[in-house]
Amino acid sequence: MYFFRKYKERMIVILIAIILLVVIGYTSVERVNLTGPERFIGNLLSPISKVTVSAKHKVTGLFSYVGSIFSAMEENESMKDQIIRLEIEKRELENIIGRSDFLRNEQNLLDVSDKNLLRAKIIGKEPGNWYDNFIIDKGSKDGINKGDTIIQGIEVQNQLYVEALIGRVIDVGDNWAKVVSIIDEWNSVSFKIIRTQDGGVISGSIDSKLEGYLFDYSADVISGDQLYTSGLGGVYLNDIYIGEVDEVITSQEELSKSITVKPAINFKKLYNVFVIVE
Amino acid sequence: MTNLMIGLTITFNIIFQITILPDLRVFGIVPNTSLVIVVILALLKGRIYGGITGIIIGFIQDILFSTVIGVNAFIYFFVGYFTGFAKDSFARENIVNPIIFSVLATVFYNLLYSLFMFFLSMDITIIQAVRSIISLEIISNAIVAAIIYKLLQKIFSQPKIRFTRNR
Repeated sequence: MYFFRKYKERMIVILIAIILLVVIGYTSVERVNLTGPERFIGNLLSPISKVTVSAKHKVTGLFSYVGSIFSAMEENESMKDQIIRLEIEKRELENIIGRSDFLRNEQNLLDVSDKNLLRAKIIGKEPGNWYDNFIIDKGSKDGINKGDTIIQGIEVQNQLYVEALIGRVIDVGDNWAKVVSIIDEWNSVSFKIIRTQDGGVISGSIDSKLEGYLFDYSADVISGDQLYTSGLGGVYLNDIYIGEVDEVITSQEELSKSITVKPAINFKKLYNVFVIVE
Repeated sequence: MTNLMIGLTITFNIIFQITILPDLRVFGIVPNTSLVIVVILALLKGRIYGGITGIIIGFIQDILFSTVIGVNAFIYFFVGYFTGFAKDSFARENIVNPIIFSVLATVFYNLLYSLFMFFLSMDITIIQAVRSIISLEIISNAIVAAIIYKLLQKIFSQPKIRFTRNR
């Protein structure tokens, strides 16, 4: 008994370490559902996070307002001149604004798409520098399932709107869901080149770039080719736009053709996304 | 009272870190305030508090964002526990302490994290690992540590000699 009393604290520390390692090992394999405590913490935190995000937008606006006061005096004079000029321009522009909408991209996507889309808002981004995951404000109550695809509408050419791939849902809570983006290390996407129908696999990397390789060494691929998902493997739906080929690297020794991809989405400026609900 | 304040600190930190902080990137680097808070609480309250705070913050962060549960909890626990040994070794007013310990903790965190990633069969090269260990995050964490230490010092440090009745 003396032994136990003497080394009590060390034994507790080692015990905790072992328990944590077991948890890591247990959760590193693919799981089916969220456990009870996880669900509880997520449910508790996501509404708070939601409020803070909208408060943040207001606070940021306030700061930029305060900062601009100092330069306001000198600007005032030149502004008065400009107002007259702008008044004329405004009349012309109003004509254009009347036709184009604030949410034109989203609306056009809804028109074009035949899938069942659900609008969701990003309420938190992962704090660390290692990964690019985020959480959204819709969960199993809204019909979201694990593995659902996350997209956003973008304009590729004049008046041509497509669904662009962002990521997929990896865990679902009651009113929140964890999304892993395609520029993340954990994620690999099977793609095809729309021009030649050549296939391959891309995955994110630690430094947030999309890199991949083609199945066929002799495949004809040039910088600027457009990539769509191929649907192989059943992880993502097929025919969703990923991005353009940025660079083609041919390696003679390894008999492989690897590419780097410029994603269509700007992942630093994501606020609203769509979930494809099946 | 202390427990309540620690709880509030953790909650506020988590909310601040996942909502506001990711938008305040400097050179693409976010300071890891969780790590810094674990280090500072361990310095102020000792190894037991440090370890427990580390586990709680780590688990919350893992559950919210990570696919694998427990990696952050494991690292934060040991950071808190080992830093706590230095509780009474240095002068409280010295601001150099938390800075040095948070620099050490940052290196330790990234080292252990890349090790975990390696053993969880992530595709990580030695260059990427070294680059993430010796990064700007060290500097940004050191700056944040100085600020947070000033904030938390008043809340958590009690004078050793009291002239009034113990509450």
